[in-house]
Parts: sequence; C-alpha cells; structure tokens
Amino acid sequence: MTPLLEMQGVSRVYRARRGLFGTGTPVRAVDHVSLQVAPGRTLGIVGESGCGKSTAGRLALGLERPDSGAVQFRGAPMAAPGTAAWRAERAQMQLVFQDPLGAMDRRLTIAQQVLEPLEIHGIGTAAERRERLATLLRDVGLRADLAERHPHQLSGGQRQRAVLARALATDPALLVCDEPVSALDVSIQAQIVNMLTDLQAARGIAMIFISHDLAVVRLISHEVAVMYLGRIVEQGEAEAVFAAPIHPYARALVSAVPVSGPRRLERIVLSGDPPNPAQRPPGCAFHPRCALALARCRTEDPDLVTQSDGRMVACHRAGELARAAA
Amino acid sequence: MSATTMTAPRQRIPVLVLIAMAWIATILMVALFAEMLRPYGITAMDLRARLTPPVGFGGTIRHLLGTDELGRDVLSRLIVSVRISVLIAFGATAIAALFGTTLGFLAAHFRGLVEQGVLMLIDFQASMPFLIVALSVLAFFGNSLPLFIALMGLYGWERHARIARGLAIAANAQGYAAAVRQLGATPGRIYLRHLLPNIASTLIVAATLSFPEVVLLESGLSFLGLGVQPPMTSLGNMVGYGREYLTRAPWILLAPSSIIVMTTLSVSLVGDWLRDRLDPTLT
Repeated sequence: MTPLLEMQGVSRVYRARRGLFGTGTPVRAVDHVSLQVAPGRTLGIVGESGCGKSTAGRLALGLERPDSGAVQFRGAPMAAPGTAAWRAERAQMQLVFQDPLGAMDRRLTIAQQVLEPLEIHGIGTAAERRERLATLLRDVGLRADLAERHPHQLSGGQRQRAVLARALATDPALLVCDEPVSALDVSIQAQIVNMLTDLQAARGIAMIFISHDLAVVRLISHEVAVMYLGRIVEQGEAEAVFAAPIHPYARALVSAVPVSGPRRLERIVLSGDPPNPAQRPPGCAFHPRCALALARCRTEDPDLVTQSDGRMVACHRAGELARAAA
Repeated sequence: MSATTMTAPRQRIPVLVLIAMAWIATILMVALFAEMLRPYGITAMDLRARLTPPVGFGGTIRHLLGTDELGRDVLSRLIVSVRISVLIAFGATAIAALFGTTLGFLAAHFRGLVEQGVLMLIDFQASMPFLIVALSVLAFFGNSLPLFIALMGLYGWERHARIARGLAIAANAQGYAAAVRQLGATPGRIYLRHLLPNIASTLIVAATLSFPEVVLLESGLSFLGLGVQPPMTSLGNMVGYGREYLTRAPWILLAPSSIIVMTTLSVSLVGDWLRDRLDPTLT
C-alpha cells in the first residue's frame, strides 16, 4: 500500500539558551526519523518522556517545519504553517491531545466545539451540521444531551470523547493521538482505545499513536517505532517488536510492562540517568545505560539496519541479539 | 460541580452590586440628560446668593446643593460635570482597552520584532510618569475635549496589553488556542472568537481598575488647571476650584468628591461581580 504519510530523514533542532548571554545549545529533538503510515493502519511511537515522540507527531501533522528532511502527505509536501493552504489541509489531519480540558474552550458548549471544524472549513448547511453532530456524538459514545454542556461539566473520559468527536468532524484521513489516554482512568483508557480501533476499522483512518504506555500501544498498533533521544532505535511489526524486542533499550521497555503470570523475558532495570538531549553521548546514545555495550558502542554510532525479519534496529549487536532471541 | 449546580436556581445578584448598578445607571442617565436636568445654566451667577449652603444646612430650596463663590448653582454644575467626567472616563477606558488589547494580541501573534517593539512601548509607558506626559502634550497641543479624551485613553493601555499578550501566548503554546489553530482556524477566528471571550473577564477587571484611575487623573489634571478648562466644568475641575473655600463652603468640594467616590466604588463592585458572572466555571 502507498503510504498516506511519509517522513524521510526528518530532523528538528531546538536551541536551548543557557544563562543570560550564552549562545544556544542545539538540541536535536528529532534526529533523522523516517516513518510511513498507510491508510487504515496505526503506527505506535513509544519512548521515555523527552525522547522526541511528541515532536515527531507535530512534524507529521505539519504543525512544525522540519529543519531537514521531508514530510509528504499523499505524496505532496506539506504547506508552510500559517498559510491558507496549510489551514485547508487541517481538515484532513487532526491531533488528539493528552489534556482534553486544556484543549477545549471552556466558554463554548460541546456542540459548538464539535461543529467548529465544519464552520472553519465551511462544510455543510446548518441542518447538515446538526445531523453531523448527532452522528459524531453517537460514534464516540456521548449522550446527545451532553452537547449543550460546557467542558468542565463533563468527566475526563467524556471530554476526551468530545475532543475525538471534534477531531473526526471533518473526516480526517490521518489522526495523531498524542498520549490520548494517559490522563484517564485505566477502565476508561480501554474504552477509548477500543473506540479508536472501531472508528479506524469503520473509516479507514491512518493513526499515529504516541504513548509511553506499551500495553496500550501494543493493543492498538500495527507497527511500532521505539524512540530514544530523538532517534528511532527499533521499528517493525508491533507483535514482533513486543514479543521479541532486539534493541537493548526496547528490551528494557518491554520487560517493564507488567504481565500476569510468569515472565517470559527477564526484567531489565536500566541503570544510569535519563538522557539529556543537549548532551548526547558520543557513539551510540544508549551506551551509558546499556548492559551489553561494547568498546565500539562508545565511539561508533549504529545505523538503523533492516534485519532478516524486516524489522529495523539501530544496534551494533543487533545480529547476534536477534539470533539469541529467536 | 455537575448536576447540582446546573439545576440550582441562578444566584441572586448581591444587594451591594444592585445598589452599585442602580448608581451607575443613575449617573449614566444624569450624563445623558444633563441639559434637561440642570435647574440653572452652569455660568448663571446669582451674586446676591453667593456661598449659600445646601438645603438643610441653612440654604434655601432655590439652590438645593448651595452655590459657589460666584453664586453659581452647585447642583447644576455637578450635573454637567458628571456628563463631562463620564464622557472622559468611559471614552478613555474604552480607548485604552481597545488599544492595549490590540497591541497585546499583535505582540503575541507575530512575536519577534513586533513583540519587542510593543514591549518597549509598554516599558516606556510604565516607566514614564503619566502626569508628565499629559502635561507636555497639553502644553504643546493646547486643550480640547477630544484631545483630552484621547490623551486619557493612553493611560493604562499597557496593563491591557500585558494581560492580552501574556494570556494569548499561554493559550497559543498549549491549550484551546493551539487546538483551534490546528483545526485550521484563521488567526482572526482564534483571537476574536476564542481568546477574547476567554480573557474578557480579566480585561474587564483591568478596565474597572483603570476607570476610577482615569476619573482621578482627570480630577488631578483639572485641579492643576490643565484638564477641563473653565467655563466648562468637570468633577475634578469643581474639586480643584472648590478647595479654596474648603473651610468656608465645604459643599462646593464635597458634592463632586462624593460623586467620584460613589461612582468609582460602584464600577469596581460591578466589575468584580461581572468577572465572576462571565466565568462559566463559577456558577
């Protein structure tokens, strides 16, 4: 299938200024990331906080311009943010936020906010919009009488459903969900995730699902990319990555997911400090925390190499680790 | 917070706020119909009845609030003064709010050089004693009522600009403005439909704070002889000229002073109440 969205070697550099007169230290929030999402498929992006997964999501949506590399949507590059063409593109791709209360205007009713994208893009007549509102609320499982409420009068789960209804209003082809369930109760998390899967099946939406919660990502993703310090360290079919992760960092992450019954993988506890993106270690960025690091890892940066099973891993020892895992 | 507050009857307006609203309404009516309400002309002198005290203090029914040193009716002058002062205070506050909010939004939207320019203006305005600016402008350009209102409108705009800029930046960085932006909304829609209603409550409070200050500033400038010029009269102007007779005829000064106090207090009370009422999360 041709990808709906394609990111090729995309980098985004922020400048963190230190002190009053210090010049900026470049922080590579996203570093040479390449991703594809096909219609109807979900790509999960996992990693620690600060690893650049949210920035990757914003780059995918064209909310930010990459400093290098290219983002293509339906084979065409994105328009520059703030232009009329860029605004028109928004109807086709939407972002679902982590904090639904912050993402909604607390002065407007749910109905007004869910219909706002239609008003913005001039879709439908007043009667059609009313009908659309009813459909959208039903699709996300909100009672019709909640439409006249204000966001603060809803529960957290209802708010996230309302945000989702707003995101779906224009029938987008791509949905980027940035930690959409991490602020919610576990029981509600499952409901929202199931709803997302159902909506995707019904509408063929391509999704990028960003989360630090591996259990949720495993549930919803077809493909998964593990990020560490702005780079992808392992990428492949979700089942393969979660069942037998190759990269030592992916192994540590997967082994930290609570499982019922006896563990298949040994629990790997990472030592060392969480990384500072402004001071990227030389060689492989993960080597100070890696139990399997060799002398070579301290000097040589591993490339993302495709393995025999089609998955991509950035580790010097990927070959032997893959054989050992098999 | 949910069902109970929704079905509960809407809260009654507090008595104090009701009184304040009634007072503001009265003042506005007086300002509107000043020409009909005043019993005498403001320059009409009654030299035989100079410095007559108000009714109840030895005065007569002919001059309800007494007369001043030239025998002019204090009540008539007060009514016309209210009109001029209200015009200046409302006009100036509106100009300041409009100007400041616009500059604040521009700074938040364009950032970079525009923002630096606006911030420089704000700092300049905040560090320069306004009285000195006002004095020099009035000295150079002379005095007319429209100019005076425009000048007073320069007072306090920086407060609105700061508030508008700060809140707009915060909302743009995360939250509803960012969310609406990524829906594809134009900047006009983001700022007018979403940001402005959301920060209106804060701006209203700022405006109710600067309203009394404008009244007092006008009084101060008129007191110095630089504000409203005779034969025109304003509340501050009356206070200024009445001070010479403070011991012999205190009513000349006390009548406009009490109007100033009552009006500024009422505006503050109503503004505070309005702020709470405009916030849908505080029902």
